[in-house]
Amino acid sequence: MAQSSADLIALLDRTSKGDRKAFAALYDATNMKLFGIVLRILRKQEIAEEILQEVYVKIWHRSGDFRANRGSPITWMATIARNHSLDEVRKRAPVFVDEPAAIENVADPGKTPEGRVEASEDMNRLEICLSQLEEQKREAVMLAYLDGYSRAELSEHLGQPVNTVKTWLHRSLKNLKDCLGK
Amino acid sequence: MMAQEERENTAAEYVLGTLDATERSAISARRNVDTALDAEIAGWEQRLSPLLEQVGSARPRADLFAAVEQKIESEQILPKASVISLRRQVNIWKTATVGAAAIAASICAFIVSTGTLAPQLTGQDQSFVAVFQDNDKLPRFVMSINLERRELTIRPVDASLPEGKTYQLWIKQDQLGPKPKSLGLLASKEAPSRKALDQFDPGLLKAATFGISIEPEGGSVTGQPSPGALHSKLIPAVF
Repeated sequence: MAQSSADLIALLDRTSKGDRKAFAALYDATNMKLFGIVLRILRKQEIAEEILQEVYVKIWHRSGDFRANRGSPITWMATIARNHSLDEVRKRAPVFVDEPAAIENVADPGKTPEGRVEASEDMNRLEICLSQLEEQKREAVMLAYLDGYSRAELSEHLGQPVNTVKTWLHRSLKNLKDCLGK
Repeated sequence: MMAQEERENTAAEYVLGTLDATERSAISARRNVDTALDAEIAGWEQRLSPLLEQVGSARPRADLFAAVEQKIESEQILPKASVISLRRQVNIWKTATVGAAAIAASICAFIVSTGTLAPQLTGQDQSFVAVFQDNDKLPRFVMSINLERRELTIRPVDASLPEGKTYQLWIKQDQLGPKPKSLGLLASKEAPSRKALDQFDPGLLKAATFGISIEPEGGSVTGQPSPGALHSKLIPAVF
């Protein structure tokens, strides 16, 4: 069931008033995208499902906090999913970084062409800025953001001291901010 | 307050995800009271979120949503906004001086209309609620008590805590002596807490005043609530 950003905003609004049918529709439209994010960080299907359950309880509870003028509904939900996954993966350290996440290229019924185009403009700008970083520094940013690597895990993966990794990250992020101009 | 450079680096790394559990927890708490840090974090979330486009979708187990619904019902979790809306309705009733019966009726209507609490209310005349708030600000906690089961559930609505602090729940009633007695610490400022009230008579509970204070981790060092505690009394949940 494809849902536009406007549909998701309406579902979040109804959910915030306690509408369980709207919440179910919101889940149907977004669960595969959010599960992809959670699974990529937590890597184990069973643990990721446990965390996804908690993510949707948070979305139910906080649905009234969403503000359409501050970003898209899917980004708001994805941020909740990612933050909760990172909190959990840090508590459960050490993470199993050598195990690939069992993410398949499944068709997501909630993904609309409209949503892709809107987001891709931002992605293109970000990709241009990322491409200006040195390869290892770009890799560090991507592994941290998408796969949930900690400083220590990046240090091991990149063969660099933790303090060096920390310095790299700070400089890379500053460069990204300057490049994006916002 | 943090220096600008420290704030920028901390916010960026918080969003990137590279901080350890202790650092993440500290920043998560601090952003509730440091608006500059919160704005910096929001900026980084916006900058980096397009990367999530690169994450593929995956399929969770089919019955996962049923588990979500079960958790919401068993822990009586409500959307925060609907509880706030409820409190606004209550304030309107108060302003109109309709009285306590109407206040309780609006709560009753809310509970029944959402359907989330209805399965819990088997002994309806034994169910009471209390709302804790600062003057006319948003409510911080909503508490429900089932006198039949002698059990209370307290749900944070808009609760935030300075680092190193915790919430402590108190009861005050003449039969218990001149000073408030502790009902223990609230386990979380986000999730509902449950407490057994087996030692208290239902009549005593109905007449009691409840309080929530902010205390150092581990609880009040004096055995009494710190100044500034929020107070509330029970009103019937259902007529």
